[in-house]
This record gives sequence, structure tokens and C-alpha cells, in this order.
Amino acid sequence: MDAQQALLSVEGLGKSFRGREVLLDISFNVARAEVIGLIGRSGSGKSTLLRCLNMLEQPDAGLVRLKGDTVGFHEATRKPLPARAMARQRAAMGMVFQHFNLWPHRTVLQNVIEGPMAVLGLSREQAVPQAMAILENIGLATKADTYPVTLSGGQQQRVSIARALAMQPSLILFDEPTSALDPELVTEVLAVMTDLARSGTTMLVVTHEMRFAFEVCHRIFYLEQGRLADQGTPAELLQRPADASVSTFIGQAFRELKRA
Amino acid sequence: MIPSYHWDFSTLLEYHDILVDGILMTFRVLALSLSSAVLLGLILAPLRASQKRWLRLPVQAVIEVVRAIPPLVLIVWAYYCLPIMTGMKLSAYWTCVLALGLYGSVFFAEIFRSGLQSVDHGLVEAGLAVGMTPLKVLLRISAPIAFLRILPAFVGQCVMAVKNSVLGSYIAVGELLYQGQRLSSETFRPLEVLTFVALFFVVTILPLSLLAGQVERRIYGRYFRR
Repeated sequence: MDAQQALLSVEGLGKSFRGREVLLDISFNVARAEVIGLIGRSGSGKSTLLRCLNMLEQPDAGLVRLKGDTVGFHEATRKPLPARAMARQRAAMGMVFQHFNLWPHRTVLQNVIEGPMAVLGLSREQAVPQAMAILENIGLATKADTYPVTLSGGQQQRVSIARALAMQPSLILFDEPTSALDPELVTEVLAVMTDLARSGTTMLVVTHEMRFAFEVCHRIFYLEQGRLADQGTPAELLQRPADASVSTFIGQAFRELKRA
Repeated sequence: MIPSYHWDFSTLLEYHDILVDGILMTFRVLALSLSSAVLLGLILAPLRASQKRWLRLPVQAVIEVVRAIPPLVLIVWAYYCLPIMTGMKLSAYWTCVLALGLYGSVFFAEIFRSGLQSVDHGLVEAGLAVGMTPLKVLLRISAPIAFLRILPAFVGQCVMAVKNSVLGSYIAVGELLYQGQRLSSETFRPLEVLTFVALFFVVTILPLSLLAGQVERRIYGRYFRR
């Protein structure tokens, strides 16, 4: 797959915080309906990479292209795009956060229809049935009129996935979606994400859930100290020699379990 | 108490037009000074929170200076010194409204700023991520959440504004305290008249505080409690 056909293409992305380089020369392409797992140790730059894709962080170097359009900058001058143009590009990339970030002053339903109404300009009559259908799918239709604070972490994260889906984005970025959850709530969120992956949603998932990465993702990117140190299909990564850096990260026990 | 004193509240009825004048003037001063304080506060708050030093520092200086001046001093100073310094003579009424408006605005500015800064940045990012412009995020996400958070402080400052409105009596703005003092010295009935003045403020402010407490509990329970 080359950059022309790719849904998302990243070229030479770099980012540093106060002189410390956190991302270095990252390049990759993502095709439509592909599910990418981003793994690596804490501080390896996974989340920063994700946040550079929709310009929640401004990359210092390199380009992000979505359907061929440069995201966030005028390509020639490297000047930031006007707020409206940037917003339109962000709307095409859904995002699910580690801490859910549901708006506390809005009900579940209002959280889901907020984007379609405020950004896409849908009327309430158009937005509500669509939102209810999504909530129905993830099993939260009965919670539509409650406030986020009354929900469990797992329910909140499912609502935030619904909020991203309601915008009908080209792809969805997941930033450690299960890391803030109690262990018994992780499953329900991963189940929703697995359904999405199987139904052809393009997803980039930063995760520490190795089982999800190796069972659901089509390709896995392994980051180490801000570099894309290794990448491949789950099967390819499992075949790496035991002393390869990705192998030491995912651990001997897990590799044997998966290869068996 | 003084057991021999014979309370006679008929004075209040007899001269009720003077007191009503005072009450109306109190409300006029209050309406204008409070709304200008809130408006000016809304303008100052984002400047005070600005990343740009040349915007932030002057506003911060004004806020600190005004906060350090007792409101009565501000009113009296404005009344006697401003005309000499600027050559512009304002009526006692307008001097009082402007001084109280300025005085209140710096407190409202600090309240609004702390409210906006208390909004979790993740909620802002969630707004940006669904494709809102920063202005839309401010209007639809940050400002409403900030308002819920600052409501108790906001009502507290409104209560202070009601109390400060009597300071105009020092420069003879004919509001309730001024009219009350005039009436009490003319009728020799200070106990009845001044008790009425004090009770007026209890009756105005107490329901406001109680309501604010109720609303605060409801907001906290509905939107924020874990």
C-alpha cells in the first residue's frame, strides 16, 4: 500500500517537549478498515503519536495526511490552518480518551448528539434517532437520559465510543481506552471495540491489552523511545527472535501462549 | 433591650414614600453596578488568563490595585478626586455606580477565571476532537461547566454587591440607608427606621443565600458527585 491509497499516511513525524525528543521520524500508512495496535512501554510516545494525528499536540516535523489532505498545516508554508479548517479535519477523526472525558453537564444522549448538532449541523430530529441507534447497539439505550457521573467507568467509556461513532468519522483513535478501568469492566469495553473492528471501522488503538492487540488488530506498531522500532502483523511479531526488543516487551510467557 | 422604650412603627407607614424611594434607588444602583461588574468581569477574565504577558500583566495590576482599595475609599476618592483630575463632574449616583461596578468587576473576573481554569482540560480536548472550534468549545463546554462550578462564589459576590450598594449613602446617593438616616434624624425614630433598613437587607439576601445553597447541592449531586 502506498501513501496515495492510504486513508491515513504519516511521513517523518517528529515531536519534542522542551528539547526532549518524544517522537522521531515516524512514518506509516493505514488503509481503510485496518485496525492498528500501538504498543510500547510507558513514555515510549504512543499517546503523543496518537495526539499528533488529530493535532491535539502540534508535531514539530513531518506530515499527517488524511485521504490525501495535509492535516493541521498548509503543507508549503507549515502555517497552522485556520480554526474552522482544523476543526473540520478533527471531526473526521474520532477520539476515545483514557479518562472518557464525557461532558458532565450533558446527559448520555446529549453527549452523543452534541457533535452531530454543533459541528455537523444536524437538527435534533435527525441526531436523536441516529444517536439512539448507536446507544442501542452498545447496550446503553436505557441510560440515555442519565448523567455521566451516575455510570460505571465501563459504561462511560462505551458512551464515549458512541460519541465518537455519532460523527461517522473516517477513523477512530483510541488512547488507552481501558487503562483507567477496574479489571472487571475492561471486558465490556473491549467487546464493543472488537465488534467495531470486525465491522470494518478503521481504528488506531494505543493499548496495554496484549490479548486485544494480538487477537483483534491487523497490524501492530511497537514504539520504543519515540521511534517506530518494529511493526508487523501479530503473527509476524510473534515470530521475532526472543532477543528482539518487541519480544522482550511482550514477554516470553505471552509469546509461547500465543504461538501454541 | 430597653423595657421602657415604646416601639412605634407607624413612622414607617407615615413616611413610607421616603423609604420606598430609598429602596428603588438601592435597586437602581444595584442593577446598574452589578450588571456592569459582571460584564466587565467577563471581559477582564480572559485577559487575566491570557498567555500573552502584555495583555495579562496590566489587567492583573488593575485587579490587584482595585482589590486592595476599600470600596468606600474608592467611592469617595472617585467622587472628590476624579473631577479634579479629569475635569469631568459626574453625579453622586453615577460615581457610585461606576465605582461599585469597577470594584465588583475585579472580583467577578477572578471568579470567572478560576471557574474556567477548573474545567478539566480533557473535556476541552473532547470538544476539539469532535470537531468544535475553540470558540465553540468555550461557549458549549467550558463556560457552562465553569458556571456550574462557580455558582456559589458567584452568588456570594452578588450578596456582597447588595451590601456594598449602601456605601453610596456616604456621598448622598439617595438609597435606602441614606434615606433611612435622614428619616431617623427628622423623626427621632432611629430604632424603628434603622431596624427596618437592616431587615430589608436580611429579607433580600437571606433567600438568595438559601436558594444558592440548595442549587449548589443539586448541581453537585447531579453533575459532579462520584
